[in-house]
Amino acid sequence: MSGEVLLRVEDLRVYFYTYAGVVKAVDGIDLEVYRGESFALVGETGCGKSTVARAVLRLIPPPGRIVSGRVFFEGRDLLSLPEKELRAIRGADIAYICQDPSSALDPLYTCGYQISETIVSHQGVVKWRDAWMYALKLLKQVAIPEAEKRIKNYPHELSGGMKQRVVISMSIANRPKLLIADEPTTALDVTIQAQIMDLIMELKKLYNTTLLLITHNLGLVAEYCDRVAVMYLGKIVEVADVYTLFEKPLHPYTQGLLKAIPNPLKRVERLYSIPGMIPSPVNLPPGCRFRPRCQFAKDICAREEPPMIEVEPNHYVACWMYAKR
Amino acid sequence: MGELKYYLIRRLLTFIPTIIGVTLLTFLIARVIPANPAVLWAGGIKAKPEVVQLLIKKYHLDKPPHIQYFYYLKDIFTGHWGISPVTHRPVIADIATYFPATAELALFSLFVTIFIGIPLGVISALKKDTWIDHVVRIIAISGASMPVFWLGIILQWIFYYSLGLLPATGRGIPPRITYTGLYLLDSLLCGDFEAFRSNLQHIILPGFTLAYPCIGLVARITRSSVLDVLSADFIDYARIRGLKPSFVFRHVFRNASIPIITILGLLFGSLLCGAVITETVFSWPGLGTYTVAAISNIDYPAIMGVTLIIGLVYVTVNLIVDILYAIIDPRIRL
Repeated sequence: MSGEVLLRVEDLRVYFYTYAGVVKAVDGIDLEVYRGESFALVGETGCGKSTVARAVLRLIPPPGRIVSGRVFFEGRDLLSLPEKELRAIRGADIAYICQDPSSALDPLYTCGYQISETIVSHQGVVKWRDAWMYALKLLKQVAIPEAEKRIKNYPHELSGGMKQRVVISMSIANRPKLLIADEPTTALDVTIQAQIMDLIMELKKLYNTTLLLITHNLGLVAEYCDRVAVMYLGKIVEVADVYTLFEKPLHPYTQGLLKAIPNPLKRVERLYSIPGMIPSPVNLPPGCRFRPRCQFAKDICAREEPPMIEVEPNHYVACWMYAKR
Repeated sequence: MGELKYYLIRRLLTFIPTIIGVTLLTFLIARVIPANPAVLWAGGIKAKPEVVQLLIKKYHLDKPPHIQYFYYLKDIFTGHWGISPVTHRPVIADIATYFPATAELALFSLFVTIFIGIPLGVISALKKDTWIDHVVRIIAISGASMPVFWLGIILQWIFYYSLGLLPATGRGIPPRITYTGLYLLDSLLCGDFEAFRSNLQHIILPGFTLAYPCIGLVARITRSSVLDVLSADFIDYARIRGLKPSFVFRHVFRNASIPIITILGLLFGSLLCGAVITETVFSWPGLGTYTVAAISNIDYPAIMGVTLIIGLVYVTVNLIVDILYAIIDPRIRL
């Protein structure tokens, strides 16, 4: 599936300057997200996938800094835009659904107010009354029961799932072109995870937006996404469409991840886990970052970083096993 | 809004036992004084025994404490709060004379604290670890460590003696009509601008002296609570949503305001009591001088009167603080 590129990330590097040393959270990433698709960025906790999302919005909290790279959104480089223009894009063209809806909402304001201010901030001339009416419409759209009552509620009066629905209604309030969902279901009860994901997909279709899903949940990826990029320690190790990736994973890390998914139909003595530990991001191993845990490691893996290789059309992998040498 | 209403009713009801507690404590504090006050009131050891007896009878000193408390309450509710054996005036009349001056000074200092302390705190949070932040820190430390009388004298020396800009003592010309006893307010109400100017000039030095330790404290509290809120996820998310900076600031300020209001409520109490020294330095005709005189004369109707009025103000301020909490934070209304 290839079409018009909506978001292109080139050689993005985000470093955190901590007392312990420089943490290279994102270390040279290239990505392309096409208009209309659902793109997943997967990886384990701490691999830098959320940092990529934050870097797209240029909101990296200190001591983090975007060291290099460019982020093109509809052809404009977001990293060199003046702050004011970027603010107009945040929350409007690029919306963000966060991981924990409970801490994303200000406890002192009603849900209606917080949705309305998102609308008023971006559609300058809108009256608060109209914004409020639109917020009500949005709440109905995200299937909040008794929206007329709920709109006047404070966040502490709502359940986690409802709060996430409120956050989602904020994110679609300005008809975004790109919707970044950063682990949207992690903080929620398992029983409503599917509801929330279905809602996001329904709204994606309705508003004709592009979805960038950031998750560690491969089940969600298989269910909802078109293409996948797998991240390991600040680098992308494999990019493919979802069928290819699940059927024919090439990178040893991806293979390990897929093997580690429990299969409810098969009884196993021990669930597979990738051997070894994630190395400290301050002292990265030289060469390929996965080498210390990789069972196929060769000499070259310790010396040189593997390049991104297009093994077959639109299936990229960063591993020396597939280098034609 | 129903929750807020119930909260207010509940909170107002707790006001009543608090007030009764205040009167009880006031009474007990005054009774702790071991000396026999009647002798002192009558004029010392040489006083005639029949005069002492008369005073003991008049002030019910021969009755058991609970009866005395009853008489005390009766005095409060009948309106004159007892007759001072020293000034021979109803205590309430004395307080009505002196209290407005103290209240005016404390209120003025409170406003100075708010309008200087809070902006300083916000700026030092936004410009954390820059020179502004360090200057505010120095103000706070010096405010906490500098004795009030010393600061008062230095300010008098600079602004009165050296520069001749501001008067050193007194309250200035009284306004033509007094409604509240707060000169600044009264002179504005009756349009007496000459008096207003004079009153303002007179209150600046004592007001600032009294406020100075509080400014630093409020600035530091504001700084830390603003920093706290700035690191909250919902502020982060407000930026992610691309809210206008003024909207983001609204979230920051409202969330940061609870600790600030708490400290302001407490400070107002200490401003009222702390006014004693400042009043002495600036010859401010307030409750401070009156209280000191009452204590040295063991004039306990007066002592109790002063304690009670300060207690009442303190409790009322706390009530206002609690109501503000509930207005700001919906979770407190529960």
